[in-house]
Amino acid sequence: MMANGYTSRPALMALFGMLWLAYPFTPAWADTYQAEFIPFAEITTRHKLEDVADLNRHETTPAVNFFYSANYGQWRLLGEFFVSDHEQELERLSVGWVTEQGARIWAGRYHTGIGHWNRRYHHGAYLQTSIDRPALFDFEEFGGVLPSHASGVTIEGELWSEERIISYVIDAGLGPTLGERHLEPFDLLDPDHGTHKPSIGLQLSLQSPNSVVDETGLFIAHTVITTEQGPLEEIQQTALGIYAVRAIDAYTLSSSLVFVHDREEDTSGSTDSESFWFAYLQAERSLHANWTVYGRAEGTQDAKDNLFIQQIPAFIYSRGLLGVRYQLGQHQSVKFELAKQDQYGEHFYQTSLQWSAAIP
Amino acid sequence: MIRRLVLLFTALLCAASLHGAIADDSRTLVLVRGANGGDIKLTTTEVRRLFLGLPITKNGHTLSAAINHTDPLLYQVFLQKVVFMSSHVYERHLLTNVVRLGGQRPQSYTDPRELLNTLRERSDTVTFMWNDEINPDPAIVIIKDLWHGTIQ
Repeated sequence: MMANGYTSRPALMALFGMLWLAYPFTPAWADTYQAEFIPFAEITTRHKLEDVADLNRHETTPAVNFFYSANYGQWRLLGEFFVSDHEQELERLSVGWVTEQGARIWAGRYHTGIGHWNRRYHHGAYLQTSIDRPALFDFEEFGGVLPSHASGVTIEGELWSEERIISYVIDAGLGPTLGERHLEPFDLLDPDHGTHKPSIGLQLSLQSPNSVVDETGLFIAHTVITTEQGPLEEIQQTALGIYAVRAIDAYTLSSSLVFVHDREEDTSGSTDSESFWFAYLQAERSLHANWTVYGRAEGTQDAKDNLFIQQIPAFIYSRGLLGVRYQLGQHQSVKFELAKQDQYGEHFYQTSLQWSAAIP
Repeated sequence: MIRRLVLLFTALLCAASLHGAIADDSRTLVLVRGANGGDIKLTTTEVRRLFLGLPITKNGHTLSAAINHTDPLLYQVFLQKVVFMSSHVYERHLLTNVVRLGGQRPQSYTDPRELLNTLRERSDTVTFMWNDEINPDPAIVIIKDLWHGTIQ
C-alpha cells in the first residue's frame, strides 16, 4: 500500500507500463495480442448526520481504477491500478496461463477467494449495485479484516455438466501484515515493507448453466498475520463461509454467513483464541430499465471483544442501508444510500452519493 | 348462392394474402462461423455464455464471440431473444466478466465487410446474423438457428 508520504514514482511507472502494454507493438503481434484498457472512474461524497470522532463529517473522494487485461495466445496479463486523492496502489498484477481445459493459473498479486464480492467486482465500483461492500469483504485499507489481496499463485476454473457448473479457486500466497490501523497487503512495488506470511484459501461454488446470477458457494481461508503494532505479535486467522446469490424475477438476493477464528499471540508470547460471526442479506429490485432499489442488513456477533478486530477501528460492526441506483446511459451510474452503522465505537447515520463509470 | 361463394372466395383470398404478408415479415436469427473451423455443436446455454464473455471450449478450441452491431434491429432481437437482457445490463455483465476472468470482451462490429473478413480469417469466431441476409458464401456456415419469429 502506498499511503501519504510514500514516493509515487514506482506506482506511476507501473501505470505507464500498463498504458504502454495496452497497444500491440507490431502488426504481427496484433493478430495474437489483444488487450483491454478500461478506466473505472468514481466520485463518492459522504455526509455524516452527526459528528463522529476519527471521521470527517463531509468527505468527497474522486478515484480512478485503471484496469488492464491482455491475451497473447494462452498467456494472460491482468492489472488494476487504483488512484485516489489519498492513495495509489497496484491492486492486481498477475501473469496467467490458460490450460486446454480452460483453467487459469495466475502468478502475482490477486484478489483472494473470500466469497461473492472479492473476485466478481474487484475494484470496479460501477459494477456493484451498492456503493460499499459488506464490511467483512471490504478492502484492507477501508477496514476489511480478511485478506482481500495476496501475492503468490491462484488457480481458478470451472467443471461443466449439463445441469451445473462447479467453479473452484485455489489461493496460495503471502498475506497481509497488520499495520497501525489496518491490514497491509504485500506490495509488489515495495516488497521489503512488512513481514508477510502464508495465506491459503479454497473457494467452491455451484452455478446453473441457465443463469449468470445464481450461485451458491463456500470458502475457507487461513492466513498468518504478523504485526509490530499494538499488543499482538501474530494472528493465525481461519475464515469459513458460505454464500448464495439468487435472481427471482425482478429481485436479486445475496447473503453470506462467515465464521472467523483468530489464534492470537501477544508480545509476551502467550496465546489466546477468539471467534466471531458475520452475516449479511442484500435485496435488490429492478423497478424500471434504469432504476434499482436495494437494501442490506449486515452484522457481527462476538466481534467487539475480539482483540484483533479492535486493532482495525474502521471495521463496521453492523450496518443497515437503503439505496437506489440509477443507470445513466450505457456505462455510468449514480447511487444514493442512507446507512446507519456501528463504527469507531459510535452508531451514526450517513448518506452517500456516488457517480461511477466504466470508460470503454 | 353464387354471391356467397364469391364472398367466401374473396375472404379466403384476403386471408391468404394476409398470411403471405405475415410470412414475409418472419425472420430467422442464426449463429454462424467461418467454414474452415470444422463442425461444432453449441447448446442454447453455451451460446448465451459465449456472448456473455465466458470461456467456451469445443474440440480443443476456445471460441470467441463477435457482436454484430451492423443492424440495430438485429442487435435488439439478439438482446431480447438470446441473452435476455437490456443493452446496459448486457454491457455490465461483459465488463464484470472481463474484470473477473481477464481476456477480452467480445469484439463489436459495425462494418459488415469487416465482420465477414473476421469470420473468414478466424475460424474460432462466431456471430449472429439474419438468415435471409447471408449471401451464398462458402466461407461461412450456419451453426444453429437462434430464433425464428415475426418482428412486431
